[in-house]
Amino acid sequence: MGHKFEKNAAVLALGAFLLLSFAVAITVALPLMQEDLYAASPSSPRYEGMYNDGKPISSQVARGRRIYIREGCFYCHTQQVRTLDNDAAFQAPTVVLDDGTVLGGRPTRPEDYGNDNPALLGSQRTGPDLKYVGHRLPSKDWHIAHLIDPRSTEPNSIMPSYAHLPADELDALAEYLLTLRDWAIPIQTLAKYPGPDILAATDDLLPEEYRNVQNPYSVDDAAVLARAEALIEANGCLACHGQDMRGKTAADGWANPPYPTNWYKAAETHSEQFIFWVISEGTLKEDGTGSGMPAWRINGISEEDRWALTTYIKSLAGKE
Amino acid sequence: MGLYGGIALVLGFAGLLGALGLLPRRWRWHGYRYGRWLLAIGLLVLVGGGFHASAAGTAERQLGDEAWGRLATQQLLGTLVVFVSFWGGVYYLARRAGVLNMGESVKYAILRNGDPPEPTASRAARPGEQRLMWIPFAAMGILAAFFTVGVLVAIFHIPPGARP
Amino acid sequence: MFSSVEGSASRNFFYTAVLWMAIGMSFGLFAAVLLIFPDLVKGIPVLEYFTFGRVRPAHTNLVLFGWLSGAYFATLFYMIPRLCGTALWSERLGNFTVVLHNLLMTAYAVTLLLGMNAGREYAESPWVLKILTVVLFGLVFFNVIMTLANRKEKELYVTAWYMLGAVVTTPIIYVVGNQFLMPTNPITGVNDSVVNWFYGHNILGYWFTPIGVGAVYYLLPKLTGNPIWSHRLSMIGFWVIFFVYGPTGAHHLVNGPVPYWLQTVAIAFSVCLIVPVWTVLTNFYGTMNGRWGALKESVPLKFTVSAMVFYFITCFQGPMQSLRSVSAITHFTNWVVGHAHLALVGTFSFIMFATIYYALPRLVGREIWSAKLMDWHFWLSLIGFTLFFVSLTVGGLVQGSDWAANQSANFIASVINQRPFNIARAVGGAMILGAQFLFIFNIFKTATAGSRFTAGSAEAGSAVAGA
Repeated sequence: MGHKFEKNAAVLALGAFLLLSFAVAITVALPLMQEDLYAASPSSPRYEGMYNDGKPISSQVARGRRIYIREGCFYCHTQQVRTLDNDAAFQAPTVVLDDGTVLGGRPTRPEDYGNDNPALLGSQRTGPDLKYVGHRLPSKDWHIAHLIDPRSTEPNSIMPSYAHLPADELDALAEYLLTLRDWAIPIQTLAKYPGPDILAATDDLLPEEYRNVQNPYSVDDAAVLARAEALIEANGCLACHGQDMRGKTAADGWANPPYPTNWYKAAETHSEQFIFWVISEGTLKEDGTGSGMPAWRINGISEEDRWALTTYIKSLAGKE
Repeated sequence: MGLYGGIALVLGFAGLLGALGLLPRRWRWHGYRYGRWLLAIGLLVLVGGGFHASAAGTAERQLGDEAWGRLATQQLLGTLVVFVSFWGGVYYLARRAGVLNMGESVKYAILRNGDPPEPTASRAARPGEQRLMWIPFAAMGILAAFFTVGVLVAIFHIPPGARP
Repeated sequence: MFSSVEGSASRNFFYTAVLWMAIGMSFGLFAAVLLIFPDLVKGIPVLEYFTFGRVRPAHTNLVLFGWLSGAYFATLFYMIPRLCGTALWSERLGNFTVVLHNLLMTAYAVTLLLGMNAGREYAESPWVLKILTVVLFGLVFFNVIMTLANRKEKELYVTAWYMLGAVVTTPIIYVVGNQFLMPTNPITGVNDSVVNWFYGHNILGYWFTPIGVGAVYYLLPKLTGNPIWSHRLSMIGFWVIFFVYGPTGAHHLVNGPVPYWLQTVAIAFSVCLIVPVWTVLTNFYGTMNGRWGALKESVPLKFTVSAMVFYFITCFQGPMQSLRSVSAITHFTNWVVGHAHLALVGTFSFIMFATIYYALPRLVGREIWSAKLMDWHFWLSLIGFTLFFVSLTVGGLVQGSDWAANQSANFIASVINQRPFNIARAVGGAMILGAQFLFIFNIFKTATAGSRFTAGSAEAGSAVAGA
């Protein structure tokens, strides 16, 4: 009797097929029937020609995404923020709107991926997670500099150089990376944009809340300067402002607008209030363009620390 | 849960070895006697531990999926019910069909299938060679300990508030 | 045009599989070196395009579908006829599939290096090549099924069970997992990831595992002279593994943006995998009972027993790392890379080395040319691989704890800390690759200059290592 069972290869084949079907039913079919895994939310940009708030995603962005896949970026970079404290630094910044709605500051959810095709969740973090990199690094110049020579922006990076890609492909990639943000969070902009040539801007552009603030520190305070140096190291300021703080990066020749501010010149040209204002509010315009310096007040640097940084920059005056 | 799993593993494996008569001669009788009990206790630790871990678990209280998290116990229960009923059903049907008394002769089929075996197959066993089995067993034990200790060290290396 | 000599298709698949192994593993070493010297190819015309992101898929696809799958086809063509007591249904068709396989793998290599990447792991190749891959699998499996249908030996040995199970389930997994082979992915968003990992994990569970395990069930009696320790246990192992493996796919997405219930199912089944895998291992060890002395004289047996140890570890690590708390530390780290290689190199590739050493002399009628090279192949592979997976495991734990310690805020610290582990891993990988070159040379000399192999040539300088 037992022998007959074994001889019957068809029973075996059918059995294996049924067992696999069970697995397909539970782990493939069932999730497909779950509504919330389909819906895209205002938080997710939609690619491949679909709309985001009525504005079409540019073909340059879609192209950039295809280049991201072509070059295998997803093998080293994930795009998912886990439901763990471990991943907290990769979340979108927490923003409280005027009506009390809290945005950001959470792990990614299915609706953040909308109709991504293919989904680029990734499986390795040789490099950092990129799901909300557009918040942390809103500067296109930075991305192009980083793609051309990763070690110019981060000396210890092991990312390969993409200098061999043509200019418009690097531009497309950078455009794509800038869209990796929580689109529900409105862009934090300066009350008044200092203009493309920030060095030429003056104090009368200062908004009300930044006109009369006072620097609690003195430029001779060594402890404050040391603290500022640690902050500069931790937040990667020199990635854009150049290892020599004179604003030269690997994006030279690609820069549009002109490359980031030379700190020595800034120290001589601007008041402490102006410098504090730019550090706190970044340099993005209302339409999301601008020279891409992050708003550090939003990105987690405290008021005392921002004054420490201001003091440090001011201490460079006359040392060119 | 890892702790429960580890304990269940050790108990279960020891019980399995015992029940199948694979222990060294000195302990073989004890193995036959207690093997099945150890296996059962190991299974109990695994299942009970699963319930305890899911009840005490913190994953669902963190960011994200709060609504789903509360169902963890239900999910474990559900999985168990499916698993047990499916295999229970298969076992019952197989028993009825007489298929459980499967012919052991088929395992000899390969020894006479015409494909000449290696010369080592007809090699005479020399005394003391059975001890060679401890090489892979020791390797398995060392590696298992290495991985477990490694994970524990990594977890405890992290400051208390940030541990998973 | 295609040979109909008995055993030629199996032999040809073995030959071409090891060539793809050399190419695929070389890409692997190249990728490992790029992680240490990222500017290695910068500025060099043409080569500068071969960055890690392009080399990695070339490596994975060539070793999975070129080397391991090729060796698996050869194993199917070798073992199934002998288990059925009848010749392979069509050596001609078999040799046609050898040619198709090689053309397809060449196309894979070229398209992947050119960056034609579909963006889904282990399913990167362009749509047309995927269709051809299904055709290839289909033709190989058709040959196998026809052989089984015409068999003289009516009883199915456990190896045949596993192989038939693989033959029935693999095409389903490949088709479903590749989005039903539609040129535009109809399933998008996180569902795409769920389907991708259903495919990614189950190609391991229903293709790579059963053929590998089935091969050991064939080899152990042939190498030791003992029948399988318990036939009943082997049946239990078969049915349980085919049941439990399927729903585990989502363990690749633990703590991620997929439903909690799906993760729990995957974790529960991943832990349950301990049952069938340890059952299988118990059977293997039981079979060795009383015949351990053979280990001293047989390199195929050394590879098989090593594979058993690594398989145990894979299925000790695996359930452990699927738990949410452990995954929090190990996910996205080098630990996972180590785990993947434990299964595919330490277990299944080692089993294929044993199979080749066993089957090739019988296919070509010649003894393995050099026993000393066999020994070198084994020890260099074993030591190199141990260095490889240990450095990746420790490195992964360092990465994971680095990230947990400051909530991923100081990411670059984990990159800096990986450097010594990346170096150790590359050294281990170089040793493994070097061992395979010795292996390939030995096979080449066997085919051209090996001494005559006869059935039962116990004394006549057969593959006795250390002699």
